[in-house]
Amino acid sequence: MQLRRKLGLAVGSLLAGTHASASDWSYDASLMSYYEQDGQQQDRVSIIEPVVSLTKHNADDDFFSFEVIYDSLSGASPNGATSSSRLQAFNGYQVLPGYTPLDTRFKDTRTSMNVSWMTPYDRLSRYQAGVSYSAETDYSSLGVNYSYLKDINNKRTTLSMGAAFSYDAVNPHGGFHNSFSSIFLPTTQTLTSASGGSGEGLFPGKKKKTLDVLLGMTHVLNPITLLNINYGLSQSNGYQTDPYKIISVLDAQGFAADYVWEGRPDSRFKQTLKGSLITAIGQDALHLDYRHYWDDWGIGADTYDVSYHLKLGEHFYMVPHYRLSQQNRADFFVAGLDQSQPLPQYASADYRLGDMTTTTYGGMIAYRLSPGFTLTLNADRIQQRISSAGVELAQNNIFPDINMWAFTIGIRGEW
Amino acid sequence: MSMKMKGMMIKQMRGFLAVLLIIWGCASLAACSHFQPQAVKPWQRGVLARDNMQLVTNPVQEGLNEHIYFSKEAASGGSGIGGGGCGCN
Repeated sequence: MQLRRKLGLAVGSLLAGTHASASDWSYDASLMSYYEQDGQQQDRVSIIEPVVSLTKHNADDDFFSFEVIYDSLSGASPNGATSSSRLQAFNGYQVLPGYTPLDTRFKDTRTSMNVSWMTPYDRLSRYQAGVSYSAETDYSSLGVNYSYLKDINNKRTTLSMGAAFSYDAVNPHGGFHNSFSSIFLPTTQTLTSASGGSGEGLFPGKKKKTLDVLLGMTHVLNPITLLNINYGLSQSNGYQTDPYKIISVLDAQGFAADYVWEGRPDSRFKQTLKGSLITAIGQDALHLDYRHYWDDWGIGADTYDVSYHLKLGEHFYMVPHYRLSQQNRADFFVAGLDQSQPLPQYASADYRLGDMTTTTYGGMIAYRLSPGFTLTLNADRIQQRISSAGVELAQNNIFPDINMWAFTIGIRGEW
Repeated sequence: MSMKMKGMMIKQMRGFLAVLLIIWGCASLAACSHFQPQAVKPWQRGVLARDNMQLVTNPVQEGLNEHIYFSKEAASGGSGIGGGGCGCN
């Protein structure tokens, strides 16, 4: 699935002639440490993620950029089963009564490489293109993208039209399973031609293809204020089930009689409408973002983001930041399945598809030692509250809150 | 009334309130001098060229943030296209 990593390059360069670099090369290297714990004091996933980005600037709106990202993930991840007043046994691990079941064997690494460049067509138009590749132990992805940008209205307005295509392959540890088959049955599909995948080659496993389109407009309202509006569409076809998530099948007393593998639709159509407003307040700047998201899985989300770039002297600045996102659940989101009822066509108990509020408080401090060297420190505290209100078979609030912390140290500059 | 119907009504109410909030916000912003449209000459773009006035001021940090939210929420996108894929969601 596509990560919008190229934000700065795809959108930040939209406005022609407002931000030119005087140097030939710029660099940006960061190291993020991420950690999460749930409301039951269970440690979950931790991540170490270094990123290095290099950009060669040839002229205004003419550059070439290369980025490498490495992720190392480990820890425990919810398997989708409900908590129970009884001891629960899964394949290879047990969960104590009252606790949200976590699969403690979660471990993965990811390496991603992105190349992108921008070239002018003429004084008023240019294009940006890119290629990306990423590989995990159980997932691989290849993507290409192209955007056309055109200045109009005496360069007060920039219009953009972009498209991206990605070809992803899922290759889960332990093979594939039929949706709603018991987790205690032997693996029903392995990486053979019978599973619809191949065990060999650069992209083994089941495939997913995604086409993204983004239409944007950036407008200079006045000498101190910018407005940006983007409308995005995304169509994904292919395997979109999480191959590690399960669902509890509950008996009349509410105890798990079995656990089955989840199943999601093999098609998803997403739309986004996002507006950003930036205005200068003296030497400072206020950034306001709002995004409305909706898709044909029944998920809708509203996300608000505000940050204030506060200048504290010639070399020092800080950026306090707040983000709030509220989403409603997918049509096929369930807490569990009723043993006495027929199976649905699709179902998932992955809390990330549930009713959820995510709140982020954080900030960055930066110190510019010289034009060629700026040191940054960023800290974010993120809290997720997942509601089970209205979800069938959820007798009470069965999803504990999740607390996350992310710390990043970075250096960037020019030479 | 079923729980599903109640849920849908709450969602519709929330959407309606969000639209009202946006309209109210736009009206308030338009009344403020910061947001009144005004012709901009080339020599008046100095403030717009500042680092803190870019749409994305720190691309690498924003990429890291996007990775977290993409992994932990169902909604994504809206800012740009392209970039590496991820099996984290």
